[in-house]
Amino acid sequence: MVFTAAGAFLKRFVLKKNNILVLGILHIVFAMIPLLQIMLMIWLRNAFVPAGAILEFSQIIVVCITVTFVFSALSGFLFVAYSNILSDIKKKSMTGQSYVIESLGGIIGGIIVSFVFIWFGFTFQHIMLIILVNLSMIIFVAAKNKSHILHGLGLAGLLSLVLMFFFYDFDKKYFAELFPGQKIVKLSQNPYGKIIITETDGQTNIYENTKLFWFDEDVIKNEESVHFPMLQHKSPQTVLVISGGLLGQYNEIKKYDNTTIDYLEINPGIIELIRSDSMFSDPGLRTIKSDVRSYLSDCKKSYDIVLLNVPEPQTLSQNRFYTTGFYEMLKTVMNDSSVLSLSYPAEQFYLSDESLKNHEVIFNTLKKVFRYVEIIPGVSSYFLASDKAIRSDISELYSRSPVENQYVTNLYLDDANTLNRQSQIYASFTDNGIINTDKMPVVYQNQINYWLSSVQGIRFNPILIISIAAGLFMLLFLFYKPDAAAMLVTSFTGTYVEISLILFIQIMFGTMYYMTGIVFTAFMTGLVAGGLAGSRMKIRNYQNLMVIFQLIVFAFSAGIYLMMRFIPLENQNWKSYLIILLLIFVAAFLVAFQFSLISKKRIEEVVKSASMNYSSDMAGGAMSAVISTVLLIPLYGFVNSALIVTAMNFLTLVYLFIRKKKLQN
Amino acid sequence: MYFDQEKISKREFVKLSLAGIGGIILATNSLKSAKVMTTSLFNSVPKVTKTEAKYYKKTSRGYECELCPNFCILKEGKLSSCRTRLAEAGKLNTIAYNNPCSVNIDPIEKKPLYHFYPDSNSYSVAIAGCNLHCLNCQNYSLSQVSPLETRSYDLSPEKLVKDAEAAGCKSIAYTYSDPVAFYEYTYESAKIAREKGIKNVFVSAGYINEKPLRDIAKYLDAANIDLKSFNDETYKKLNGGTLQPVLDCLKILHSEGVWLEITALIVPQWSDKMDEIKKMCDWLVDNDLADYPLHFSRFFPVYKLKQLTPTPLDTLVKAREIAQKAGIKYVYIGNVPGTEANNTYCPKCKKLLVERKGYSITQNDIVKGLCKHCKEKIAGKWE
Repeated sequence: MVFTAAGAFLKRFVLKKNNILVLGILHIVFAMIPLLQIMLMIWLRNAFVPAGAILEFSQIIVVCITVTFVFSALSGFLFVAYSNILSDIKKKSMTGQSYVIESLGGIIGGIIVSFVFIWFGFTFQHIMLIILVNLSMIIFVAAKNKSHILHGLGLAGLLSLVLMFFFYDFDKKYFAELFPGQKIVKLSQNPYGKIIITETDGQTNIYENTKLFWFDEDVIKNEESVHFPMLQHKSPQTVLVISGGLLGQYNEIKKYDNTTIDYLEINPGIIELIRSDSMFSDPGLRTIKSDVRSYLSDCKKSYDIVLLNVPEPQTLSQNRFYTTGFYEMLKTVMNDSSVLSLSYPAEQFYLSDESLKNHEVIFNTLKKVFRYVEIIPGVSSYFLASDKAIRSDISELYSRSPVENQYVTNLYLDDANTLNRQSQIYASFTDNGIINTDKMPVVYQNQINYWLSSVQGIRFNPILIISIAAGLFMLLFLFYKPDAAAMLVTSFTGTYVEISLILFIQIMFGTMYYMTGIVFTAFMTGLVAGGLAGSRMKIRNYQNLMVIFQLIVFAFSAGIYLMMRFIPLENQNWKSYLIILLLIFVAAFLVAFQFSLISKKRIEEVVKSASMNYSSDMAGGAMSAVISTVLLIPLYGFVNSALIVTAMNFLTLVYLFIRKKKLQN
Repeated sequence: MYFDQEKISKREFVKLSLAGIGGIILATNSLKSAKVMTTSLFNSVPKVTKTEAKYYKKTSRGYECELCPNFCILKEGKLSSCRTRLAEAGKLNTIAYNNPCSVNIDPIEKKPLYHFYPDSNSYSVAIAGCNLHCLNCQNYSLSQVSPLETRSYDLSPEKLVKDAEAAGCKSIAYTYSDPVAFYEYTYESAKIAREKGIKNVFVSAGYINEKPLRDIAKYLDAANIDLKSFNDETYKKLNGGTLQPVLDCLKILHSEGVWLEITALIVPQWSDKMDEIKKMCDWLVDNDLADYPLHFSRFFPVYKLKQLTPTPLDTLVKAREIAQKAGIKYVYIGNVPGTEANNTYCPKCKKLLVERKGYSITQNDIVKGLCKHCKEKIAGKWE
């Protein structure tokens, strides 16, 4: 969005007179860029990143900038150019209408991606299709304008595209590059993402969205995750397994007599993929394809053991598995002697400060809900929670149990050692009492700090980063004319609302692939409606209108704050979902409405204003996308970050009021 | 720029400032909670004792550390690559002294040392820092930071030996990070432990210069050295070091009479090429190291090397077969519970001698260092 803003702004100085041939060539380049972007990403990765290594923070930044720079800048540039052409044809400012057309394109694109692409084809096939649409449009425009050169270029592009499509399997090549040294056995895609099965030297590996999900012979993890909690129970009969593929855990659970398993998997594709495994012929195994919270809120059963195999809290939406609200829901399907187990990655011999912080927060959060909580240090840290006392002498428990293991045995585990490691963890706790909630994602914040400091070697200084972000925003705010500055803040607010409400939906309903299209459509529809309403509105007093409009944006942001504060996230509620969709629509409506209002300029002002307004809109959105997800929500939580956005809108209102006389259309 | 063209009047500025203050007051409530969290990020107080480092010289460019092949040149106030040596007040100090961040009692088999007083416990200690920077370091939380950043114990060499003795440990293992980075502490502790009859175990990547290695070897009883690959390029890219010093280290420890066991972590894409494994084994045999156990260890994705799969078991089995064919007498597979490749077999009569389940010994047919069945000498330090 930053580069889009820059591209839009650049149009003021470059190619002032629109030339169909030049614009056509630029559009051909624009259409081909996604293909080049992915190839560039693969090349950059192979050239600069050691095999199998994660990207360094600086590399992530460089790759992001390198691959998005030209595409985004061209996107902004072309928007302003096309909007100017439209205005020239209609002899009046058509910037607002262009915005509406762009949004309509967004809606159609969003619907196609959400409802078609997720079911059919792979990345490169989609890209090819998009290039095809763009080239066809260029050929059509070239023919209409009798630009023979452009026509020829378009046809040449089309021909090379068809040749590439038939003679080169980009997707296969892409996955081969992504998983070097591994044989791709199966690729499948569903709305939850891609599932890839690979084979290396007889070992089967399953990836979910390029993350290793399961592999053969993971004896230690399978045994620790099952036996640490199950050895605690006198007679575990009913087991709820939440996510994790079950393949490794099934045989371990079945070592206990008469156990029945309810296996809940969020991604139904995983179940389909492993369906052929013999374990599915077991009548004691029931599979549930559902979101966890959705299942728990309707579940009437009581389980002896709950194995929670959820990912680390690496995203704001994954934080939902580490909150008091979620643990309270889990407790409703447990009885007095039930045991809950969840693991959190831990270094074996020394926990870094950041890792220790999350150990303490998760411990505190569980303790808020369960009477007894213990951390059993294994290859990961296992958090066991129950209303019955938990024992940490696993080796002793094993020696009294009839099960036979390879790793969780008294031959491998030494209780004194376990207790020593456990006491080291407890002794390092600060007793700060901090807990993790859906609205205050402390665990996610700590996880970012952990990743930055322990893995990337970067010390995160939130105060410094906030100061830089606030300073940059202030500079940009003062750089723009007052109405464009207000646009900056409204766009910031709109994006903040969209992001935070999408996260709200994710917390309530889980992975929201099915809902992505609906949310996206709600936002884009809001943009279209706002754009149309704004461009049709007759302006009598521009100055008053802008101040009143800003008052409305302020009131809206205050409303969002109140909603954040009072809407409960613990239970799924379709009314809440509809309210959220409506609010997303309103946020987008306000952004587009204001854009249309401030774009109503005299025809000679169109180029200047279109680039200025579009760039402020994009800049506000871009800054919000980064600041909201990296700083505001992780650091301050949902409620307090909404309060900060409300304060920003209040200050903007005051600013507009003071500078009312400078407002001109 | 626009704010140049439309200057704000004083009156407007005052109004704007007041509005800003109002906004800040409004937001104060939200900042309170963040303050609690941000201050709580920096609550550990590491203990640091400085003592003069061994093996360095003053040069015109700064202090040149001669402990390891990195040969760091440090200007005043700067830390070495291993993060434990600090140029300060006209000398080179080590800040890795008396301040271990991890202390545990481990079975000796966990080091892994399979031929060194089996079934005994080793008092295991580490101070933060390491002179290599492996992308797959499994102890990165303590090896890739300095002692200035870790919570630590206050444990002098004297107290360490006393504690190890009190815990009934047969040995002290300098381990987890790399004892080269806390050389002086290891040296002093090993000296005292030797006097008290406690064995010293050096668990290291073996990236150390000859003089310091020969000096400390006098007090070492056993060492487990990581031979991370047999390719210099891999050493450079994956570990931030070079191969030759590690090979030299193995030869030196052998010549000094220190019991050796070698660990080779097989990392897919990096060190899993069978021709390189063959070369490595041939080199060990050619250098009279065939009697020392070789442990092929399974890799798991960790730290910065998370985009790889764990080592397939077949790869480890193939590597073991190659090593055995090359003439290495005792080849084990590590990080794989339940495998028979954890057991010791007589190289002559091929009978099972030591059965290991987990870190415990369930059968031991080695009597006075000989195979109970055919009387073949089994290399190692046995009770």
